[in-house]
Amino acid sequence: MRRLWIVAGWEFTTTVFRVSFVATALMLPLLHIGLALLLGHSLKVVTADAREKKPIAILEGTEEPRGMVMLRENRVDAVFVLEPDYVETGRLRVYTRLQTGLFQFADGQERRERAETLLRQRLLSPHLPGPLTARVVAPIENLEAFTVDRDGGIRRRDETPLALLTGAFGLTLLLSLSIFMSSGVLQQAMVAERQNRVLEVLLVCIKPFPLLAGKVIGLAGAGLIQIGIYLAFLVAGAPMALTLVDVPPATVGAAAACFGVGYVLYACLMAGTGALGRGTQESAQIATVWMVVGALPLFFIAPMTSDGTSVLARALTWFPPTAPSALLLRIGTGSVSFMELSGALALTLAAAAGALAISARLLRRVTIAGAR
Amino acid sequence: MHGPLVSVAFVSRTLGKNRVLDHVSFDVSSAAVVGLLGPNGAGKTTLVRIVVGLTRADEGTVERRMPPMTGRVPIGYLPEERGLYQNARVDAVLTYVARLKGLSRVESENEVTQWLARVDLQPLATRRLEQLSKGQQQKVQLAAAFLGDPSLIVLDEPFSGLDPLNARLVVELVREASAAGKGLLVSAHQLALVEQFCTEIVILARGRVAWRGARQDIPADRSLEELFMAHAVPGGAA
Repeated sequence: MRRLWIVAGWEFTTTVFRVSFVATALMLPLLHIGLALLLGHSLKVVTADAREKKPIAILEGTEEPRGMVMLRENRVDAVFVLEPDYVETGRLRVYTRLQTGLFQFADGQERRERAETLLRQRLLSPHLPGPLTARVVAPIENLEAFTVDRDGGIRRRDETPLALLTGAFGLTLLLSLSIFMSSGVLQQAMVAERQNRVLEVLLVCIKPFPLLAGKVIGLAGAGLIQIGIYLAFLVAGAPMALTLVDVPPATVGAAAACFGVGYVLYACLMAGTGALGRGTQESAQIATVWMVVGALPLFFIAPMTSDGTSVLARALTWFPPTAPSALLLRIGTGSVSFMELSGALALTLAAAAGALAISARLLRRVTIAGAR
Repeated sequence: MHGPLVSVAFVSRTLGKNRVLDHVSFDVSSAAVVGLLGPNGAGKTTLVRIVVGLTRADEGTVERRMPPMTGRVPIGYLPEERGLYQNARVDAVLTYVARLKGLSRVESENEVTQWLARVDLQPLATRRLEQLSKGQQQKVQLAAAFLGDPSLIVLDEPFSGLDPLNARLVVELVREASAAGKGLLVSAHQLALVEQFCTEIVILARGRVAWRGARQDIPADRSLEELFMAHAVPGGAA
């Protein structure tokens, strides 16, 4: 047991003082915050553009030349010209300035919606009172949203679905990234120690299981340091990204448990992968499989966040390799019970212990396989 | 402590379809220096790994009867291919190995200081291993094998990559360890050097013991090299 902690201490100190670790720990949060700020700025610009939109003109056919002048002088965004038989057929033409860009189709859709609203008003106002016309044109103007839990409790839903989705996705992505990066370090270390035969010296002093367990613990500490730096950067430097951590303490605690268990599982799997591969490249290829499997829930983010209790969500929760990220996603949307969380994490820990035992066996076998 | 520190009896090992060791037997006693000789592919490294417990024999037994050392690893091992942690400081690596061998932090630091001085690397204690020459790295590994006062020291190709001066240092270290009552198993190709310090010789050929005996059992009219050529090389001079 004492040797296990010596290994853990060694792995921790040699990892956190490594230049690549310090660079990654500092640069990655800065990069992500930069991207978040860039995205936020873009959204701001787009929103501002939307607010500054010019009106659209709906004209009879005889007024078409006047509409063309308005368009050329940039006084309107579009000119819709009604055909003489518009009421019977719904036919009209639209003129806009020449534009290029990826989101042209969205602009066209938005102009069409504005035109429809104006046309409804124009068609109904001679026949209906003003307020009724307004309601027919815009039946939903002020919507208050509530959620009902399993016990019938009703709560106001403050978050918008997009914010909720972003928070859950952001948290899952952040913690999953850290899990894969930290456990990847372990996998690389295993490959290096096998190749330079340090393992032979170590295995004379300590059995494979405590050796691997010590490595997993040491690198888990390094992973937590990385996450700590990440969160410190987020809280200190990126108000926009605060949505990622603006969650109740219980959710933060549950997410931390998922991160811890997820790290332990993947560290054990990566240790085995490092022991199994015959070189850096081969081990990296095997490790990619684990990373794809681990990130699987992120591919199903839409169905998982819309219905966190679906068969898919539960299946991914109870399958150890996908459990950490599936749980992180579901915690973000509040769709996982304490019992399910505890059960799935316990199963994942059991799988991690199994993976560590198999890794230890593999380690001894492949170390010996080099003997000639 | 009576009897040998290690008794290897009728050990066989097959890797794939290759019979690497075939009923090999020998002992390593306290104060003895057993030279394990043989051409490339004779099975020396596999045998060494079985002796230190890195792998098991398919047949036969390896009995280790080390004097009790509370919490300490009784074996010092220098593997054939050497690396250690290239990015770590010399003193840090050695302290780590010493602690894994069961020494306390203070004991480790004291022993590391002594051993670095013994192998003339004290001025380089705070350098990273990658900043050392190959020969200096070899000496760091040699110090790692001797750390912790083990009863049995197993050295696989200790002279590989060393200049004559440092090879001389290895000979001195082996003699000192033997004089201190430790048992040593040394696998090597440098027959002239082995001849200087071995008390017993085991010559392996194609996984079998081709010749085994005490240093004084070598016929007076033959050198160790002649004995080796006669027994280890197919069709060698008889």
